[in-house]
Amino acid sequence: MISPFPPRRIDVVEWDALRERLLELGLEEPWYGGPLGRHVAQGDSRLLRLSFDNSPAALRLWNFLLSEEERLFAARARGDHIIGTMKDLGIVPLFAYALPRTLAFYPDGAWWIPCVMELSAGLLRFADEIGLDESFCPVRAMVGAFLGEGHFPRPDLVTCSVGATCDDFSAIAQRLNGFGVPVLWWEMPHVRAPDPGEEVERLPSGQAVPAVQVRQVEVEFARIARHVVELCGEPLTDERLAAAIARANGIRAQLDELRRAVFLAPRAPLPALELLIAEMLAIHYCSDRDETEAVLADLIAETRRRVASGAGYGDGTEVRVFWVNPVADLTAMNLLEACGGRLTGTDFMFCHALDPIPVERPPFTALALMALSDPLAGTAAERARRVAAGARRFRAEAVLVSRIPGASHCAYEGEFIAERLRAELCIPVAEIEVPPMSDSVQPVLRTRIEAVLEAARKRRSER
Amino acid sequence: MDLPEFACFSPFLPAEWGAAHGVRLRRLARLPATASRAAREGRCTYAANAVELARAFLAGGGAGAVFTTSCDQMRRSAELLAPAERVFLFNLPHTWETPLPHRLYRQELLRLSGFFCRAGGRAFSEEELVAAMRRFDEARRELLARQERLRAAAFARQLFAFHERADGSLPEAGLDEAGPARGPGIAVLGGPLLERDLWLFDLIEESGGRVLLNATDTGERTLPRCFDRGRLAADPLGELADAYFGHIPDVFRRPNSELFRYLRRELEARAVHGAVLVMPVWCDFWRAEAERLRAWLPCPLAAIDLADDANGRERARTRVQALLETIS
Repeated sequence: MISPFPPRRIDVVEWDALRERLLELGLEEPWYGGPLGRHVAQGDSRLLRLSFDNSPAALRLWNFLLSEEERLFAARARGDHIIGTMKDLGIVPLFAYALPRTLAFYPDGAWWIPCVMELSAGLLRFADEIGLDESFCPVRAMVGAFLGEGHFPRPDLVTCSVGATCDDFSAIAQRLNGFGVPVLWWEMPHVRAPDPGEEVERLPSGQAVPAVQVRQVEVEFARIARHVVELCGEPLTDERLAAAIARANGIRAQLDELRRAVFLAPRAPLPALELLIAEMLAIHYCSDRDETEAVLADLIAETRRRVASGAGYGDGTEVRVFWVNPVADLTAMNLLEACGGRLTGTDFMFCHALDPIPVERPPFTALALMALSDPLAGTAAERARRVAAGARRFRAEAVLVSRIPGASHCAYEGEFIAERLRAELCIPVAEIEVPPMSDSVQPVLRTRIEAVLEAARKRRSER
Repeated sequence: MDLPEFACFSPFLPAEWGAAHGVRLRRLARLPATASRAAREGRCTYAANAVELARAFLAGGGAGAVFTTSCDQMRRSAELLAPAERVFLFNLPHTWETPLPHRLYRQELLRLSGFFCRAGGRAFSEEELVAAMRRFDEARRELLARQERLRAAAFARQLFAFHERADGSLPEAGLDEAGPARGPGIAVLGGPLLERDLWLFDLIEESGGRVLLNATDTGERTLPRCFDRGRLAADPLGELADAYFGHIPDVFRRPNSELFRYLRRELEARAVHGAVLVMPVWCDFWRAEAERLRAWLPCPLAAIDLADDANGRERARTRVQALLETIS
């Protein structure tokens, strides 16, 4: 259903009233639909602090996201195979979705539970108790979520990429393993430039990498595939994998259309927060690929209609901001817009889950190339290059690098990105740090965001 | 003519590999006095110091610096150095349970060989590699034999000197007149130390303990296993790779079960009554294991941040003294 109302930010209470009105007007919801307020009653109290888009497509998106736990437990009850894929963000789940009655999800996603439930789940407290204090990334919440089994069922198989990954994640996953959770570790090599005379492969981004690294990842993927096959008792043929890649590319194409519309339209047809959630669907389809396609189709239809009619948020004068890294507290995305900015480019650490997978290559090779495109597996300079290219493509006027508290990569990347952006595009860059509950630092965040937006406006007026 | 010199910071980089190429692969541990002491939030102090050491080394005419991907911090620190063509980042696998990472490690040694050759080293011959391996192996055996006669800090200095010389020669024996310390046995575990951190060993011994095991990243734990003479002759590169990558237990490895296996074995073999865990500030790998070690070890544990300031030392003193009071 296309929204009969102009775009407007509303809170969760308004949403429940609006939903009643939409039902009267003919809104049909999927089985996981319902009032957003029920999620608040179930403990997702952060929703009370968020502003939401008022379209039926956004309602479906939120209900889809917030029903994932329920859907995972339903899958467990049905006897489906469940694979917990940790860290690689967007590649290994394809092995699961290539097979019938098999799904994959990222236990890493538990990093948002302390925010969404405003610490009431006690996951960070548990992490503190086992020595994973606040010097670690908020993904430390994953251990309690895993062991407590209240947020998702225990997966039948758990994979984790290590090597060229952040130390926090590797250390936290090792602690999980120390608590008796079997983990299938696989090696993700640091992506380097080819040495003189070395055989070269090209990533979809055009970056040259040593062919030997592609072969290494292929070997690891073949090993993971063997474990998946053993679990599921179904052959994982090239045809099945190719079909899973084709579906993944369809979803990536949907997101590409959505992103281009949101980033390039004169007025933002969709708020930053909803775009962040929509992008996240790419990594494991929020545990349901069919629904992901349907949710994105609704968002695209709504966005197309808004763009065609000139509807959107703001008046088109907002500062265009490229955002780097996901935020531990979702309210930060609302804050950007409250400060007078709009999202026109993102690198939420999973660009490789958004880029099309090359279909002309054998499936394992294609997936290895995508894994090597992970922005965290290569150099900070390469990530900065991609950020600069994205900022140029979407005409960003400022870049915000959102540091994840405690994350090892964040202590290094901001510097490289800032240097590159300043040298290449001469646009202002600022780093902010967003904790899972940012209420106490919101004045500081606001000041920093306003300052960078102000610098961008000044630059705009001088041109 | 002086041999080309390369700085490194990882026990997984065999100095004998450098020697076979006619270069010195020196593991540095002495921070220059001019080094910046300012810590940046989130950056591991050891990694930051490694960058300082490498910068000074390169500025002083060093041929190159070799970092590894043993952790994200060291991996990213390599990128802070210039010029990039004089920096080699060794892809050190974290996994070890399948053949692939062992193959990858060996491939990286060969890639490092190319780097040495481009920077003034020579292509290695098998005979030279075997000779270098024998020389280093004997030196390590001799070094370990000295341990019982030395105080902990003196032994650690000998290790540092051996790694820094990187030519297979040993420093002067320099035996302590005082002989080994007495008191309850202490194991020191944890991350890498610099020479200026050795006050910690003195502190333990001044407080009434005796360091029986230096299982830090720069201690005996990270020495390669002794070479097998038969395999050394048949496949020296394979033996080198296996002695280092196949046997050094470390916290970053996945799983890190071999570290615990090593600790169990060594603690059972020595009369250890307490343990001190030293962690560079912002080192995620060791910090994450601190509570697990506390629960797992058969003895009390004092965890210490290696903060580079007077307050840090004072905190360490208090913890070590409290540990020794507990076990005495």
